[in-house]
Amino acid sequence: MSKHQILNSFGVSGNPAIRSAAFQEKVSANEERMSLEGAVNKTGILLFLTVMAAAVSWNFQGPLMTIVSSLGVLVAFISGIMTFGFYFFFIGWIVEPRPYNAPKTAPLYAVGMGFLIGLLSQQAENLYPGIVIQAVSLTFFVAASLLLAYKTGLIKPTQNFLLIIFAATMGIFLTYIANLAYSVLTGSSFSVITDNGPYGIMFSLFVVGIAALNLVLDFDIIEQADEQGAPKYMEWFGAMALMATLIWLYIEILRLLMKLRGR
Amino acid sequence: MALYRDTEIIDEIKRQIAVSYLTIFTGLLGLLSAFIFFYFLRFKASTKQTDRDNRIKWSKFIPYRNETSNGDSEKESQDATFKDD
Repeated sequence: MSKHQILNSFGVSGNPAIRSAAFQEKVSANEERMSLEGAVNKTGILLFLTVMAAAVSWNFQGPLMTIVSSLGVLVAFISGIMTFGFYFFFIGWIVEPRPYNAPKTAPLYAVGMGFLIGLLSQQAENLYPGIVIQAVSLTFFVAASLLLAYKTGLIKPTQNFLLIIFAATMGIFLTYIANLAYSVLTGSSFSVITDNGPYGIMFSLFVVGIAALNLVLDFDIIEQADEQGAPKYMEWFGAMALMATLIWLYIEILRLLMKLRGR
Repeated sequence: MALYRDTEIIDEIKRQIAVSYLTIFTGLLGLLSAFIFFYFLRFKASTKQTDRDNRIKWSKFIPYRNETSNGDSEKESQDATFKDD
């Protein structure tokens, strides 16, 4: 099996969030089609919801908020699976992707992840004042830079680019899963993930790089979906995928900055 | 001893001022970046990006692309060969 055939068997994208058969839906003559403008507006709405939930989680710390945040993360996780599906190696799709769910699940995902972000950010800010503003700013700086690089054609996503990003993303995902299992069993975690030494920082830089390059794939899929006149619900799907990558990028940048400030 | 302590305090204040300047600078950078991100996201990519052969073949997963655009262009090219008598 060639490398591209392997990719095709996994799905559309290297980004786990956007990997799906989402674009297979046909648009009937009467159905409204997606637009870039619509996808941008939906991304703005989801960002607003995430920030609002994060603000609540940040300001009302306590046992009740911890429960609410945990529920929020669970809801976000379920929403993600209901929309993007769930794929497992050697088994295939355990849950098929359902992009038409995105208009309902995307706001739930945004709010749920907002609670998690608020909690993490508040803890980071307590340790290192000013770090959250820096992380948010760097996230948008990276996103804007890559967007300009993509729109101007400086970065051109190809099939090999997709394969590399997909492999790296899966590698990171499996490393985190292994770390989770290890920490449950032993009570400690992989030093390369948590350590603020050179290796830990290099690992974080690598993860930030991969998360950032996933944005390029998101831009490309949104762009092509618009070119093809995908169904209207794909605006929500594209926005949700973009938000998922942005949230991942933010968390990784926050982690990197914490390592740098903790030295 | 007291002089040494004072120097330490002054150094700490200087460090905090530097950190707050950095925060203000990155905050402004973030605002500008967010504006650029949402502004340019609504524009189509350049032809340098879209008109190339080695694009990721998302169309394999978007069947209506080939059925509509390619089909239409074929019809147009056939129509173009017709001559008006």
